[in-house]
Amino acid sequence: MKGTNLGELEELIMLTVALLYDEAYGVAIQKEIKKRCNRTITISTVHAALARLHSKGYVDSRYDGATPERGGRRKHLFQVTKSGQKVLEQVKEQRNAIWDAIPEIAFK
Amino acid sequence: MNKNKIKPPGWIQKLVSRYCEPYLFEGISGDLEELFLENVELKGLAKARLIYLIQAVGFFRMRFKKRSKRISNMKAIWSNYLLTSFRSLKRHKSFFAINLVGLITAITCSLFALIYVHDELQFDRQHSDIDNTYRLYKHYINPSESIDHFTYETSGMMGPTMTDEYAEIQEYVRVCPWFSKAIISYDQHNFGTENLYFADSSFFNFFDFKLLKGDPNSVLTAPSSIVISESLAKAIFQDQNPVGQVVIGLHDLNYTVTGVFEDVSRHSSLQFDALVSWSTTVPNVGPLAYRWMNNWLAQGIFTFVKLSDDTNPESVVEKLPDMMNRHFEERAENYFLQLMPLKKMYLYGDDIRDGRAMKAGSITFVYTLTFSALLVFLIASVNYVNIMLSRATETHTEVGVRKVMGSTRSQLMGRFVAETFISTSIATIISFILLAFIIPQTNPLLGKELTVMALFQPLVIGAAITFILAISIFVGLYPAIVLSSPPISSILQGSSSVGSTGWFRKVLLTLQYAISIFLIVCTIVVIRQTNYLKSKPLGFDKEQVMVIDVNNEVDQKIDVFESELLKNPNIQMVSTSRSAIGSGTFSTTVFPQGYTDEVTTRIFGVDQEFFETYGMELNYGRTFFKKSLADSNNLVINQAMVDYLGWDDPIGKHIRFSADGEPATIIGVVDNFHYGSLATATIEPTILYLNTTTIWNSSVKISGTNQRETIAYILDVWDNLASRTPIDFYFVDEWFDRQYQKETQLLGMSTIYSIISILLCALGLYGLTALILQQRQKEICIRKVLGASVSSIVTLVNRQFMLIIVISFTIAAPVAYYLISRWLDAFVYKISMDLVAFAIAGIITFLISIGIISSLSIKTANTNPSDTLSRE
Repeated sequence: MKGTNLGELEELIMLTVALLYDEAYGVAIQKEIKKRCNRTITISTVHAALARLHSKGYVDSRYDGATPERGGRRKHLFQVTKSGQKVLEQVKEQRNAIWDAIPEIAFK
Repeated sequence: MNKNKIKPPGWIQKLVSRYCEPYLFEGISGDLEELFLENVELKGLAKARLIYLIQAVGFFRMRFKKRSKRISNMKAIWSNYLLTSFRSLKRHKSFFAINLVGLITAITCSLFALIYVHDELQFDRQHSDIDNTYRLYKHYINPSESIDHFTYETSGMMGPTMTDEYAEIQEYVRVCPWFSKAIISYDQHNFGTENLYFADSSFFNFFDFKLLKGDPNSVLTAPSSIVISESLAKAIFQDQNPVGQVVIGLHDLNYTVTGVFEDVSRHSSLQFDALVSWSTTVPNVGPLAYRWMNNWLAQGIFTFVKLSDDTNPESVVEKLPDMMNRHFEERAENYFLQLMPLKKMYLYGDDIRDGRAMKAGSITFVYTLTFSALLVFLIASVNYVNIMLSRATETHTEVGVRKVMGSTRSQLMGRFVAETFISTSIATIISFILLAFIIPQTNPLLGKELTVMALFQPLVIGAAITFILAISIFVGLYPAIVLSSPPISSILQGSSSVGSTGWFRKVLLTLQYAISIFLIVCTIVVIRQTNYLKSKPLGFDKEQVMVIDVNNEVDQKIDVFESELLKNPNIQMVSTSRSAIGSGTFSTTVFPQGYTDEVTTRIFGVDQEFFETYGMELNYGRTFFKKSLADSNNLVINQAMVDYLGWDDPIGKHIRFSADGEPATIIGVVDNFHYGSLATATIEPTILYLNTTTIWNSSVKISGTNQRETIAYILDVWDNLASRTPIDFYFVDEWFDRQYQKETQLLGMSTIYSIISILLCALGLYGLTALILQQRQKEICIRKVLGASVSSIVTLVNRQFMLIIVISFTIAAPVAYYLISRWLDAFVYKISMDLVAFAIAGIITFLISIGIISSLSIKTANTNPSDTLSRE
């Protein structure tokens, strides 16, 4: 079970990777999170989380798309894998199940 | 903008590339650059570069670290080294034990010295203005009476006058500790104070002692005010508010409690639990009217002054003779006022006398302790190096195999340093446990109140870690270099070339011997000097004389007290008078017959029984007639006075106490007797006069049998007579012993250190001899086969060590001689330096060495040669 637990930040980054689809690399993910959640995450933290997800097998990566803005370097692009997708869905289901089980009275 | 200039800092990029996994680096550096270019647009080049730097630093995390095959291999190598180290320590238990004992001793001694010295340095630091605060003392010179010493005694007028006249002196405070225990009574109960001081009203502003109740500006202003310590307040008043209460104190007067202060920290030189306002003693102001605390002539109080910022104390001291000339001309030629910084007062007051009722340390002792700890450390380190080196023959093969397998030299050195690290760490842990037992034990000897908690100060823990690292690196490194040095070729050939370092080990052994011999010589001299001080005849019989303070309610009933005491057959004599030996002395100036200049002498007010009670020897004439006041205008003097005056026939000569006073006739001369520590005080010319009216001290001579019962009887008699005052007494012989506390401390320490050093030295010698015998085993066996006797073999081994002892003796002896002579110089009465100490030290070292070497070599010489020789 330990392996399937997702951190909050990891979940957020994975969702963003899915959202950006073919354009998910460090800076783009950082900006997207800033835009949507108004949350500032340092670039090294983004990379660290991606590396962690990669080692868990939830994301895949490849190199592509060198541009002059990047000093001629390629982008390290990420993609959610099947097991990543499964884990995201599992998290969502668990949350929903809990939401559904909360008695109405609790939030009154 | 110039394209070339818009670039992120290259150096950090390089560092990141070196640190990060190459596969990740392209993405990382690309992202960083993208953000950088964006920031250049938004915030400018300089700021963008800074942000780049901060962001780049974020990538130095374990997650991005380059994973290298070599690193994981290193891990395996190191865990193997650690394993081998543990195994080798386990296999060579006796060498390991010797090493461990040495390291434990060295670390324990050093940490102990550190804790002690650190504690000594804490004194008086609570005063915020410590840099500007000085204590007045004086250099007292009187060539005609060969007086030349330093003393803290000052007069009551010095402080106020100098503060008035010199702008650099901002304020003063005078302090006068009371001479004995003062009793405070409240509501029919009596409470003894340990130390009662008279103090000026500025006391609490001058020093940073914390006042819990009362106003620091005014608690000591009004006459008859008393401020007491928190614990005394609790004892007297329990939960009542002490402020405003009236108690009965000194001279049965009423005193009003005006404040309560926090108990004085043990890190304070001034130690008091009650303070009485100075104004109480000022004539016409307070009820006590002590003229002697408030004039120029009497010396007996202590003065502290504060100088303005950045004032050089020397410049103030230079002005003081002028003040003395104007106000106190009579003594301007004798008293030279000096300033002792408060910061140094505790440790550096060794040669200033009369610091009564104040705590004092000794810088000599601090140095001795530090120096001895260093020497022990040195001996233990040498042992360690020697024993590690001695294992070269065994590690030979291990080193060879590792080298063949591709180990580098530095890796192999790491392997040996690791072994030292393990031993040192174990030793440090054991030292801590030992110290937890040792520290409480040594408190009484050193006069400290250290607890086990002293071990857990950051300083001590830091020092322990530093020791571990420093020993591992500095002590462990040399053997590591030597042990890892043999080239593969020599190992493959099977030759053992490590014997080449033999001379180095011998130099180290010589050094160890020199240190041990030095310490033994010092200890023997300290023992002899202390014994000499304690056993030198004092000119009277100090045994079984008990001195009781009767300067209290008992003085009214002194006749009853004396007669009750004498009813007990075990009480032989009672002498009641002003003076007793050990109760302090007074001096006065007199005009002997035929002298126009005054002569300073000690003066004792005694009764008719004094001479017999103390068993003093009479040289000429007689003492005072018993039960008669016929001699009230006659004097007895001591032999020193006769010698000083150069009189051939002193009996019948006159002495006047003032230039035009009544002449008093000398009726007897007693032999010289000591009335102070033999370490510092000489016997001065002394006058004894008949005084039966000033009742201060009772000296009671009791017989040697049934002492316990006799003392109980005396206490009984006291309790029947005194309702308010607990008995306060001392024994004269114990009083003299207490005078040598410093010497006793030094004696204790130097004995411990020299025993430790000789033990360590013996251990080291044991290790070295065992090694040499091992290396020469074959040679010895062949000699035996060829017909050598056991004794000739033992002599052979012994011979090379004897030279070492002789050399180390010639190094140690002059150093010891020089230092010991200097130490002895400080004593008035001292033993003469002779060769006894050196001879004893030499013989001890010689015998121990011969014993160790012979026992080991006899064992080797007795083994069957065939056992050794058949092995190849």
